[in-house]
Amino acid sequence: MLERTTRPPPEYEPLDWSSAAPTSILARIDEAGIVGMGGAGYPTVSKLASGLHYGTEHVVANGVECEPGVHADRSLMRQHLSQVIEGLHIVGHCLGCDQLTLAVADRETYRIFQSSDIADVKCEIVSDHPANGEERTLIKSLFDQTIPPSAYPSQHGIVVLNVATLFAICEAVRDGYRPTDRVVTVLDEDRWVDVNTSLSAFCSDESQMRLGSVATGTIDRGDATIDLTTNAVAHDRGKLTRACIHCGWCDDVCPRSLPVEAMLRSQQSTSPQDDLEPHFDACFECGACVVVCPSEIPLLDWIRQGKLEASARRLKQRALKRFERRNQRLTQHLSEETDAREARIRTRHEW
Amino acid sequence: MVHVMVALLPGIAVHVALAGWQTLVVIGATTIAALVTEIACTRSARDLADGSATVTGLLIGLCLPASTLWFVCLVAAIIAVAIAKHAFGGLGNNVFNPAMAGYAAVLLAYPALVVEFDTVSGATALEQLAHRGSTTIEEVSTTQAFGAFGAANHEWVNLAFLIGGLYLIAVRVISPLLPLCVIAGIGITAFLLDDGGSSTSHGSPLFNWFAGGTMLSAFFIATDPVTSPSNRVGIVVYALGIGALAMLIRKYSSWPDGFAFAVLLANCFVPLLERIGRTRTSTS
Repeated sequence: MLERTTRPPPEYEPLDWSSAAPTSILARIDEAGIVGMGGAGYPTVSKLASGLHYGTEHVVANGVECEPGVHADRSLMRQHLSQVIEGLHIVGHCLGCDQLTLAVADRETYRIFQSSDIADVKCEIVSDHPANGEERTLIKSLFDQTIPPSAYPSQHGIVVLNVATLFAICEAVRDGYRPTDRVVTVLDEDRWVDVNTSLSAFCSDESQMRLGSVATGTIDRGDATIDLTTNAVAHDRGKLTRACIHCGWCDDVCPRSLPVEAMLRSQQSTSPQDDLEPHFDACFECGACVVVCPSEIPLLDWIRQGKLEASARRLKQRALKRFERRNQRLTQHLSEETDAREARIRTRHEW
Repeated sequence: MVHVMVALLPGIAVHVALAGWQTLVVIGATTIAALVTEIACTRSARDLADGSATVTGLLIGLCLPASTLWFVCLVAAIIAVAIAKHAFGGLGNNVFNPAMAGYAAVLLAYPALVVEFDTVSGATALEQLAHRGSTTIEEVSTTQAFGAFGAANHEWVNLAFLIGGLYLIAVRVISPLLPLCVIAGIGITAFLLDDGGSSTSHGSPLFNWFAGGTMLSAFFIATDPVTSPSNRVGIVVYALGIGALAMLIRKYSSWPDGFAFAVLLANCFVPLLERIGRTRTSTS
């Protein structure tokens, strides 16, 4: 199923990580340009450096892939579980941490892990709710620990890395490869895809494509390409969208308990409600609402639009405030000048 | 919506078995009229795909008795789709349940033509209870209009709709909360009003669950997502209200059954219930 196309030869010298210093491992991860492949694209070296600085108690391999219709990480784990685990060991060695956990959501991967007799890694199975793949939710369900929104988990002793990132770390450190391809669920079929592949390569007809899963992906405007953070490519189902029937399922399913329906209504109306703004920012785009919507409304597109508008509105307000303050300053300055001049004139008259 | 149509099938089958092929004519007339009105209002056949017009037509057909004249069917379906739905802005924006608005309109406009007479036993059980003078419940319940545990014939219809409703819950089209609360509303009110069988009593909760349109309303009509609240508190108040109102109308008005009016009255309160639910979630 997973055929890997020919890759360029290794760019770096293979590293014997078990005897290497953490700094040289970090340097390798940095020069290989590895980023969080679960979707966020956060530079892995920054996360690890933060983990090293604050001290790390747990390293978690995040194989909880809960976006609807995406199974790229699952396929990767089934085929290359040993490399993923070795990546986890490399990170553990680098951060001086021996509490290693692999979190998965499907029984099949769990079973494969159990039969592969890996002793020093714990495997945890979590439910496959669309929100569980998000790292803070995962930390909450694994360690019952809440990370405040202002901090990164690495500042609280927990480093969560996606399994594809760990696989890339293993290849970069052990074999010296720079990551140039990844497993992507392309139209429901997992395969290795080179980065910078254009989305139009997968599109057979005129239909719209989404970069990402059918629920959480963004619509391709014609210039989208696969990068290291892309886990899926899907067809857009936009033409099937019907009117909202106010069933409230999106509100019920939202892991952050956001008023999704009210947010949609506000976006669709001509006068958006200002008081919903914090809700737009609180959405972490898990796509659960899109999955349950009986009218197949692309709710996440509306919410992302709302987020953009909210930040644009904030920028505008800040600019307006700046402008008003400047005007005030100028008028004050002017009036002071006028006063001074009048005072001068008056004194000259008296003189 | 395909699931809803499938879930209605047992009820339709029992209706046909009890009242004959004329039921199919009535249901067919209301459904076709609803579909044609939908096309006329939207000027395209695109919106037929959502199935809402079909379900509206089917529900009106199931509410009307088998002997209903064809033009009454047309009026009910046209009022439902054109006035109750599209005049309010189409699917998703209607305040009142379209099927109940259409049914209530013909109920008020042509009472003599749509009040149900059972083809077998004359007046139905609810009809007899509403217009019985001073006879006690025991005397009435010996007549043919009463069945083993509910109203004659209607108990089987209600049972069929109960099965269809359980199917809808099983395939997760509706949540069990709303129909349960409607049934609880009927049950509690019937229990409080039941004084053990005097001439003013109106039957046990069990009888009222299996008489008239109880199960059809609880599982198929009150659960319309557009015209019911979307928060939990709202749903409970809305559904209990429908049950209680329907029971009060059964007992204290001259209408034998009150679900159409109960649902429409409860629809009026939905915007308010939505607001109560929202303030609760935003403060918590």
